[in-house]
Amino acid sequence: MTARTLAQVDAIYDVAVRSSLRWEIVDSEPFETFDVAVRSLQHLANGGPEEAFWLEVVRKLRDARWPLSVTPVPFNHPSHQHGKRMDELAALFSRAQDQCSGEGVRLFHDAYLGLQQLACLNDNPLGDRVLELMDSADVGVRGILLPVSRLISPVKEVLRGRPNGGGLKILTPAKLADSETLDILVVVGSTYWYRKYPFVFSAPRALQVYVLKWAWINDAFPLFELLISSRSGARRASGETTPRIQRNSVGAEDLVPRVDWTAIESRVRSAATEVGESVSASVCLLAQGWAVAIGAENDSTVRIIEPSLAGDQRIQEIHAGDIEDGDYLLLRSHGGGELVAALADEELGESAVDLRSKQRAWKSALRAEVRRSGPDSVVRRLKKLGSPRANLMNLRNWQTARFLRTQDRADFNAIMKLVGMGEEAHAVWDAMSTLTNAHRKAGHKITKLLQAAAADADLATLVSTGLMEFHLEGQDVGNLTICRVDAVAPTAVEINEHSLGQRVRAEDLWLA
Amino acid sequence: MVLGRATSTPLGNWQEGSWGRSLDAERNTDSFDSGPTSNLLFRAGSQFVALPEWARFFVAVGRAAVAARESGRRLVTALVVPTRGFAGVLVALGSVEAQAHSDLHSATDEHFARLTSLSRGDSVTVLEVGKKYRASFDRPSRVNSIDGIFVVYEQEQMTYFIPRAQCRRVSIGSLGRDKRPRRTPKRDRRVQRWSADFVEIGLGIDSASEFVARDDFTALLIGRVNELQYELEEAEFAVQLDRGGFERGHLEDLMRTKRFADDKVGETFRTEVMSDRARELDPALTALEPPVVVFDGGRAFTKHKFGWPEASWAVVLDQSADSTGEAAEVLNQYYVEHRVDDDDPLRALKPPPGVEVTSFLARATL
Repeated sequence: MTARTLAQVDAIYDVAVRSSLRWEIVDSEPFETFDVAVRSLQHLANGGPEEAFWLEVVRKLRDARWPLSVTPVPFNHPSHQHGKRMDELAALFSRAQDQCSGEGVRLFHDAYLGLQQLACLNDNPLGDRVLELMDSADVGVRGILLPVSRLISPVKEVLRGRPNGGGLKILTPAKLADSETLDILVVVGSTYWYRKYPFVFSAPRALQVYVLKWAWINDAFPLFELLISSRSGARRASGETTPRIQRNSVGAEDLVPRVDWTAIESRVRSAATEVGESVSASVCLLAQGWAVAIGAENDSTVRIIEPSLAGDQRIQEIHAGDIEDGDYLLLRSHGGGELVAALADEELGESAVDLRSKQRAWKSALRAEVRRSGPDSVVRRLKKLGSPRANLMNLRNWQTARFLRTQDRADFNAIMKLVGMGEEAHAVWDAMSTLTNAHRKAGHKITKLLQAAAADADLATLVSTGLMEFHLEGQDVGNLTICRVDAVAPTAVEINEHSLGQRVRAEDLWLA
Repeated sequence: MVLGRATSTPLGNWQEGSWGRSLDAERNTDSFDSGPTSNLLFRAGSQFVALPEWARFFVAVGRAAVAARESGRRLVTALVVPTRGFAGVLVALGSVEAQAHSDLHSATDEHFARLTSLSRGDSVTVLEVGKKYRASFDRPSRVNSIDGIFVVYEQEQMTYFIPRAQCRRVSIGSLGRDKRPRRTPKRDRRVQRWSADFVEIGLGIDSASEFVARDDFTALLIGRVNELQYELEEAEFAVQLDRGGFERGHLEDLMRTKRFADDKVGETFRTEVMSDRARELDPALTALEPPVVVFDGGRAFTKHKFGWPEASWAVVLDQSADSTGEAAEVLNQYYVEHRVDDDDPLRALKPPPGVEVTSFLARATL
């Protein structure tokens, strides 16, 4: 969207003044039975015997539970993938019967039967309550808020078939942030799902906000104050901050998956198809359950799309370290690696093979020398051979695939002498210069092509789903995908350079 | 076109509100008065309507940021808002308005004294027929019984005398064009895109031409350039004329943003906009030391907060933006470590519904 007019901003403040939040209790005995069994098993597993096995079982059960808790579709809807999950759990249950004993097996059995029962039930308590609430309003703009974009398709499909379900706006927090104000919004899922989006409750975008809450789950609105010693303008209408507790409640936070960064980093590492240099990388969790590693070296850059901007300004190249949640990252759809390198090779044609071979040759020789003698020794010897910029940081950069050659020819000549390629120094320098020029041209070309493809594109799909594919006209480098970054790992990791840019599935690794 | 009313705040309600007035009373100064920007109307559909309460609150915050300047201290104001729209530019507008009024009252003598205290070779900017040129200070002097200063235009290496009465044409700092045209340019009124009525009524000043006649860098806005550009240059505003009818304009006419000027080098400016994505600060901009820096968004703040060691900060945090949580944590840490007393300098400004605000004085130099 473009920037808001002052009248549109005024409407948001107006809603912030008058909005009312209300809890809506939803109940389901079979789902509660299943949830309680999972929690009991989890309690037993922590620190007990065969902990690793039981935690694996709990992880699978929680993986099955969270979509049931936040998707307003029938319990037996195909999107829940019960068949696959039940098969995996059945295999684990056989192992449990063979290897374990006592309370754990009994609780696992209860949970397994509970899920099996849900997989056959056509009940849709969340969806039914959403439609009841919508029916109670005469007119107005009505919407439903889901915590993650992957739930939109099944919900849309189910609601389309119900009376009054077709006109509902189905939103995610990112889409809601850009949306016009609504009359009614039904928020699905525990408030913990929306901890990163406090505006859902603190600056509501709808005059009436209903928050669905399972009857046995304890939940509360997050604190609205972000700043120490702050003052806030009073809202004219508000709701209860905590719902009336109906039964012995359990915590809502347990229903929300947590990102298992260790497992995701491990999977990203496994994406490398060949041996390469170890580089520093940031691992990002992307929309719709993908993950990717991007370079985290000082000079690493990435391209992002800014959907709120228009025209050429939409495409920006930023420092990779500046990537944060909510950015839209541009990646190759398949194959990973550097888009620039792929496009440069395409432009260079057959000569690319020889040029890349020369690139690999001098890099491999340098890496081998560093492994053999150690970086300190290599830096000292390079200086003696006339390298003006030899230091540990530069030596590290020179070994990576991103640096085609050194900036200063004297550095390059020193390296070539050091690794025994002194006679080829001139030819390799020229080859690397050709590659450098091709990379530069490719970079400019990508920017132009992207501008042509994305500058005026309707990015509504991107904002609502977090993922959108683009095709670069006339180029054989595959499609490009723009993915919303949902989370960035708190610390950088060392990974194989060939893992960079490779998207991997990680939706099953949300659960810690 | 008819004069209408804002949806949430009917015209006139704010006059009974507490912001501005209480501070005004406490500090016994005019700078927190309701302010002339309350004359501004904005377009809502086919009507022009009065600025709503929340908008006037942000203008008042901007005024306070200028008025609260103290040597060695900065006023930090953090605003958590439902949406970032217009909050930052309105804060900057309030600063420009306050500065413009303090200009009118500040003595020419004071400015002349500042100029004469410069050393030979110090950079100055001289305004001639609406355009700025780089020069350097040469010496104070007296010519034909008239006090003044000599400046040297860098390219020409010739000295020119500027009498004391015209010393407001000279500002400190190296801005403007390097070279003066060979012939003295004539002001071309056909290219003037702003309305004097709009500027004078909108800012409550007597003379728009005097207002545009010199640089007075008051506020730097750091945020998303495209959104700020829309709010400054495209969003339509108006003022009601005594003789009837409306005069339309844009906030940019009042705020004179360097980046959006037709002649970025030669025109005078009061504000500047910088992208929150910028990797490095423009040294020329940093050297100008704006009294107020408005960080329009969490990213702008976390990335550029220490670029201006003397400036007051106004930090706008959009509750729907991902960067808000981290920026709020940084602000809270800064509050704990750098606050110099327990007073909330803006305590008399009642925040509008949906807005969370904290303000404190902090040690300026880090």
